[in-house]
Order: sequence, then structure tokens, then C-alpha cells
Amino acid sequence: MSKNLSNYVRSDDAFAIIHLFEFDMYDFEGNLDEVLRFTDHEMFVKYNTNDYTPLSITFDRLNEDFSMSSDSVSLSIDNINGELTREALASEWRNNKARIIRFIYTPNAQSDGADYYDYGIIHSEDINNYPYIHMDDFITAQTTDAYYLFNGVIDTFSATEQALTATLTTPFVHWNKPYPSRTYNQNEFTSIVGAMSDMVYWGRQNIV
Amino acid sequence: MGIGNIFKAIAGIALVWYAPQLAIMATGAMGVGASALAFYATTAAITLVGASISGSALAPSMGDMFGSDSYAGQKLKTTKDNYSPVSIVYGENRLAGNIIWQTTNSAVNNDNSANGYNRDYWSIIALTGHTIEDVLKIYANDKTLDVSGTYSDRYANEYTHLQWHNANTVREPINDIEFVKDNTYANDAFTTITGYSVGEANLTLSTGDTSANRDNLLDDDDATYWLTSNSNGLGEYVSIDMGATAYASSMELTLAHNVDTGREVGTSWTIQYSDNNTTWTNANSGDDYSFSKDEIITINVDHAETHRYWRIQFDALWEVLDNGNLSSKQLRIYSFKINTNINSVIEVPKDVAYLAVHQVFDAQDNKNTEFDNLTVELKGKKIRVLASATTYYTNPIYSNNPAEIILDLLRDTLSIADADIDYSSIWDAKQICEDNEWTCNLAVVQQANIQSVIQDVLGTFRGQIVHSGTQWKLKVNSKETAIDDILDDDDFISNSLSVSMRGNTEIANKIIFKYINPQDNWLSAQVMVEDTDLQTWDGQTIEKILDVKGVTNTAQAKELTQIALNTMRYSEGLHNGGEFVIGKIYAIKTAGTTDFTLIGSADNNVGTVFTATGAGTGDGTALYRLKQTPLALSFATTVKNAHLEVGDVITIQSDLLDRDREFVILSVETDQSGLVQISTREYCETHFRNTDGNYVI
Repeated sequence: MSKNLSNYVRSDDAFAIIHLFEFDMYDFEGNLDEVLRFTDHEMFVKYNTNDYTPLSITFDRLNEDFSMSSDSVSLSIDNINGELTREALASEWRNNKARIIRFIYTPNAQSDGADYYDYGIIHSEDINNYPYIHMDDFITAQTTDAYYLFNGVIDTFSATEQALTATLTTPFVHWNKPYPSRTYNQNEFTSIVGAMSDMVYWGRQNIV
Repeated sequence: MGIGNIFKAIAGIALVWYAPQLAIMATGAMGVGASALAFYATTAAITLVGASISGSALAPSMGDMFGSDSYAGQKLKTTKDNYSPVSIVYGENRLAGNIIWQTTNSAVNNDNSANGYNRDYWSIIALTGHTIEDVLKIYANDKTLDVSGTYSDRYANEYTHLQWHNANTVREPINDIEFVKDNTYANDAFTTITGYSVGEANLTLSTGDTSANRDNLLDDDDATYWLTSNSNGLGEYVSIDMGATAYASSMELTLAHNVDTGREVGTSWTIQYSDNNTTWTNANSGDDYSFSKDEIITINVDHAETHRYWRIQFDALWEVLDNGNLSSKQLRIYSFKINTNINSVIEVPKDVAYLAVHQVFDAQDNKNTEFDNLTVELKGKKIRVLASATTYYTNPIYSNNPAEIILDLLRDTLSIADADIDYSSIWDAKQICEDNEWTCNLAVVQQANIQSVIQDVLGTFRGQIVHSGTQWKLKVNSKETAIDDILDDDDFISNSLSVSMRGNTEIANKIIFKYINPQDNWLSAQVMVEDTDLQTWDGQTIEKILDVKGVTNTAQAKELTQIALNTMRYSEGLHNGGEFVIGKIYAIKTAGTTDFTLIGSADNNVGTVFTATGAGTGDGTALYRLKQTPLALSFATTVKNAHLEVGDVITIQSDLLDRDREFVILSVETDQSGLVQISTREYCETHFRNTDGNYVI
């Protein structure tokens, strides 16, 4: 078993599932520029001190099996007013690492003045900030489960006025390469061509 | 679908049977959806599996891997081409190499009409593209040469000399290579047969017309180029650039002078070398040569190291008796010979283990007139070896444990970071391989898709690789597999549980396992396991071929074959006390209150195999092998079971089943809603037992 789920989840008492999406973005010199973080929840999420921006983001299915073949996941993000597209096209997406984290949680009960909530989830001490779910602090560990659902790379990327679509592939995509990769090519084995083509006068005279 | 596509589809199914572990898993995984292709699996796999794994979905862009039949023969033939891959050898194997350099001359064994001309043949045969552990034997045609320690020795009446060299971290000039290590016989080292003139070397003169004098200076005995001595002793020089790929360590210089004093004249000179043509280091110098006008003297310079740039600096001439410098006199250089064959690019690339070969032609009585086909039995690549589930030895160590070979392929070939590898799963697999004495001895001598190579290794120990979460994990389906969880009807989303059993034509009743037999010249061999009862029931013999080149052990081949057939055709039944059938073979599962010793068992220990002599009493239970095709089962569940992963074994309690059964998970699929779809195949402990009830492994 790869994941140690809490008894809360094992007993089917979890409150909700959200997903966190991370995309490593590199500049055109190959340097890590930033990590884009989104969530499919409706509010901002703070996890591991990082903020995840709520977006309408969907994915189809994730599969694990023994086939060792590359599996792909289609991921779609609403392209609101084209801002995301403009941002995306300023970077190279292909082969960038992408991760999907599944977060299963149940917030503790919370009182806010006279109001009592069975599942308190809003953290908004600063009224100037957006409300957000604070996974690091607000929700106790015993009722949260987080695990990597997917860890791969971005393969294809496309955008329309309505949506930005990416195909994520599992790391098996890198397994389709020849092995051994090294051959007796003349760049490395500089004497190979001579060995192949030069006449060998062994036991006989080389009469010019 | 065109013919090509049909072939691909067939080959793709053939892949299922290529390696035993895939066959095992596929037995339950195919289910109804794959039934349309199942016909091809039973018919086409027989002919395709041994010859081809590629062409399948796993290897879309690479040529076919060849089966063990051709594999063994091919790797035992010396080649000489520039397109073959540099072989990788895991474990112990026998293979030939690729000739990467060769030359002949008669410097050692002189020309004569009786024995032949150009009698010496020298070659470098590359063996592997990595450091090897050791060479065990060298074969020359049908002769076997024992190799003790690091060095081989000559054989065949001293007509052939062999010396294997391990891979170096830097390129090695041929001149530095010993063809017979620590040779006590003269003239076996390649350097002694050289002596070529520099020829086209790039020559630079410090003064004068370099282009006009270059050729004469080097090639002709009567060349006349005069270096002028300065009175202050700082003379002119002549330098040679050997080129980027040629180096020299020794040379000879022939000199004369034109001073006609009637007395002997001395000269002082300095030989220098450089690797950058800027910084020069003295290699040799002298001032004790006294000679008369037009007397030609030869100075031999032998230096321990090889370098690209060389030059001789002419310091002075003086009359010996007067011990005074002769100003404005000239030293005539006849030739400046570099003792190497600059026309050959004579370096062995780094990270290549190779064989240095010297053969002598002798036509007299046809003593030695043919090249030998040389093959080497060696212990191959040194890899990372685990010391525990969390630690490993710092330096690479030779190992033919399949799990550690998989680790090497993940790390070294696919460059997967350590943090992304589940080392404890590698360790567990290693332990299973050690317990079963399963090894992998694989020579990768033909370029193939990396997945095909990994499949070859996995096939040696029923291993599986899965990428789960962020990590790569190695799974082995074995008799020790623990039950990870128990699921019942509360775990299944309503109406999602599905059970199926494969039809007659989708399974085999005869398994042929092809492997490599070292006792038979490392050629292909096979073992076969069949069940004639099943063949009678099936009405036909359905044969499957498993072709796993990494297996070089007959016992291992038999075990894998038996398990493959068991997994394909047998299930297990459970009897309680009072139900035992006389004459049936059981293995005790739970002792309970049953006294098994009263019905034929030696003891009441769990796992003890016995042939029932009575029905027994009590509530003890025992397993028996059942000729029932293992079930395939799939269901949907919620995130409450998201902890399960591929390879886990679970117990299913369901009204659909006649009893609690165990299943191994083949795939886990989830979506954004949290729905988890799981496919399984029945897991039976009796799969690892033979017909006598004893463990195969």
C-alpha cells in the first residue's frame, strides 16, 4: 500500500475532496521561473505555505497499472478573458513537470461569535484578503489526507477563447528510447572506419 | 485495419505472453473487453513471441528484439561494424566483441616465403561499454583459455596472444596497451612493432620556409634542413604536432653537421614535449655526442608518457677538443621520427572493456593461417547494491540480482532520481530473488526499446514496475505476498462488482519456456510444463511460449514455467475438518482444532503438505489445488480505498463469490470525483506449489 489514509477517510467520513495542481514553468533559458499553483476548489487554498488559485480546472482520469506504457491525462482550464493564455504562451510548457495532489479533508467544527459551524472552513482574519482554506494550520492533521495523485510532465498544450487544454503524461513517456544508447560510431570510436574498410594484409604481401 | 495494423495488434497481444509476469497479470486483466483479440493471443503468440516483443504498443519506434534462439548465436560472433550498440552485460554471460582497430606488419615476425608476410595481426575488440567485474574464460574457436586473475595468457602454440583490459575512465592510446601483460617473451608489445615515420604530421620550423622543407625533412634520408646554433646557446628548433588524436612517447632523431674542422664536434640538444603547444617540458637532453662532419648519428628518445606536441631544440655545436662553441655553424637534421603509426587513430575510448589481440600468421604446414573467433565469458556490470531497505554500498559492486539490475536501469539508464525510487520495494524484491536463487544474466547486444530490456529483466523474477504517486516501485508476486486489506460489499459501489472467467481459447495448457543454457554453449534451451488432463478437457493443446533471455538457470526456468501455468489455469479450494478427501493433497492453512496428524500429516503446522487419509474432524482448514481458471474481478469504490495500489493483494468478501477469495490488483483508475475503479486477478497461494503440493519456490 502506498498511501496511509486516516481512519476518517477509511470509514468514509471525509468531508470533501479537492485537488491541487502544480506546474513548473521554465523560462526560455531553461531556468525554473515559477511554479503555477491552482486548485479546483472555489476558494484559495494555502498548503505548504503556498497559495493555490481557484480555477475551473478539470481532468478526466488517472490510471496506474503494470503495463509500463505512458498514460495521459487531459486537463482543461477555463480561459477567462484570455489572461491565462497570454501568461501561458510566454513560457515553454512541453516537458514541464506537472503534479496533482489529492486532498481529502474534514474541517473541525468552528464557532464564529454566536455562530457555530459543524465544519468550519473559512479563515479570514484579515478582511482585506480573500478567504482561503488553510491546510497547514486550520485543519487538524487527523482529518486530512494528502497524496500525490499524479506526477508527470506536460505533453501537449492548446488554447481557445473558452479553455486552455493540456495533456499530461506519466513518466513512462521517457521510456521509449533505444538501449544501449551508445554505438560504435566513428565520432567516439575513431578507428572503427579504418578497421572496417582498410584491407588487412595478414600473411601476404602488400604489393602496391 | 490494414495488414500492418493487424500485425501490430497481434504482436501487442503476443507481448502479453512474452514475459511470465505479464501473462500472469493479463490472465485476469483482459476480461470481456479483450475477448475479440483473444483469438490472436492463442494462435499468433506461439509464433511471434519468441521472435518479437516489439512492434507492440510498448515499443512503437524500435526494431524487434530477437528471441533467445537467435540471441545466443548472434552474440557469439565477432563483429566489425559501426552501427552495433556497445554491449551492456548484466550478470554473467558469454559474448563476442566488435573489432574497433586492427593492423598488420612484420616487425615482430619477419617476412619470409615459408612462413608468410605481414605475419603480425593486432586488433582491439571492444566487449562492453562499462567496467566489468572479471573475465572468467576466453574462447578461441573451440579452444578454451582459462583466465587467472586479471590477465590472460598466450595460447595456441604462441600464435595468438590475448589480454583483456577493463574499462578506463580516460581514452587509452594503443601504444600504451599491453597485448600480453607482464610479457616475458620479447616482441609482444605493440610498441615494439612500430617505427613509422611521422608522415603527414604537422611540422613547424622556427625559421625558414616550413612548407618547402617539411617533406624533405621528414621523409628523405638526404633531407637538408639546417638549424642554426646561436652563440648564446638558444638555438632554433623543429617541432611536430601529432594531431588531436595521435600521441607519441618515443622517437628517434638522426643528425649530422657540416663543420669541417678535422676534429670531432659535439652538439647539445633538448627534446621537449607539450600538450598545448605553449608550455614545453624537457623530455630528454644530451650533450655527449661527438661526431665528425657528415657522420650521421641516431639519438633515441623514450619517454614514459605520450604527448601531442614534440620538438627538438638545437642548442650548440662545439669543437670537442677546444670546448668552444662554433658560432654560425649549422646542424643538419636528417629525420625526426616518431615511433607511432600516426595514420591510425589509435585510442580506445573510455568506458570500454576490451580484448587486445595479437595473432601470428604461419603458413608453414598451415600452422596458423586463420583468424580465431574470440568469445569471452565474463562477469559484467558493477551496479548499485543494496545493503538494506534504506542503505546501499557506496561503490558499485557486481551483482546479478534482478532487482538490483532493475534499479540500475532506473537510475543509470533512465536517470530517475533516488528520491523517486521506492528503495524498500527494491529491497523486498531482492530478498525474494535471493531466497529463490533467481538471477538475471543478460547481455544487451542489440539495440532495443528500453522497456523491452526492462521486460527481459522483469521476466526473470516475475517482477512488475509501477509508478504510483511520485515513486517507482518494484513488485513481485510471490508466495510470501501478504494480504493488504479485506474488502466486502460495503466497499463496492452498488452493481459495480464484476466477476469473469476466461474462456478455453484464451488460456494455455502447455507452457514452453525458452532460456539460455550456459552448459550448452550459451545457446537457447527450453523447458516445458503441460497438463494433459487440461488438454483433454480443453479438447486441444494450447501452447504458450515464454522467451526470457535473462534466465540462464534450468531450475529457475522450470520454476517460472510451473508458476506461469499454475497462475493461468489453477485456483485453490478450501476444505474444513470433516471434508477432507482421501488421496487428495492438501496444505494446512489453519490448524484449528483439527489433528492433521491423524489424517496423514506429519504435523499440524500451517503450510505442511499432506495426502489425506481420512475426512478429519475439527475446524482446521487446508488448501488444495483446484483446476479452475483464476477469476478476474473488478469493482468501483470510493476514496476510502484509495490506499490500495497496483500489486496489492486483497481479500474479497462478496455474495457473488462462493467463498472469500484473494485477488491481486492489476490496475487502479480514479477521476476527479474520487471514484476508484479497481481491476484484479485471483491470487492463490497454491500457484506456487507443484502437483505434489510442495512449493515450487
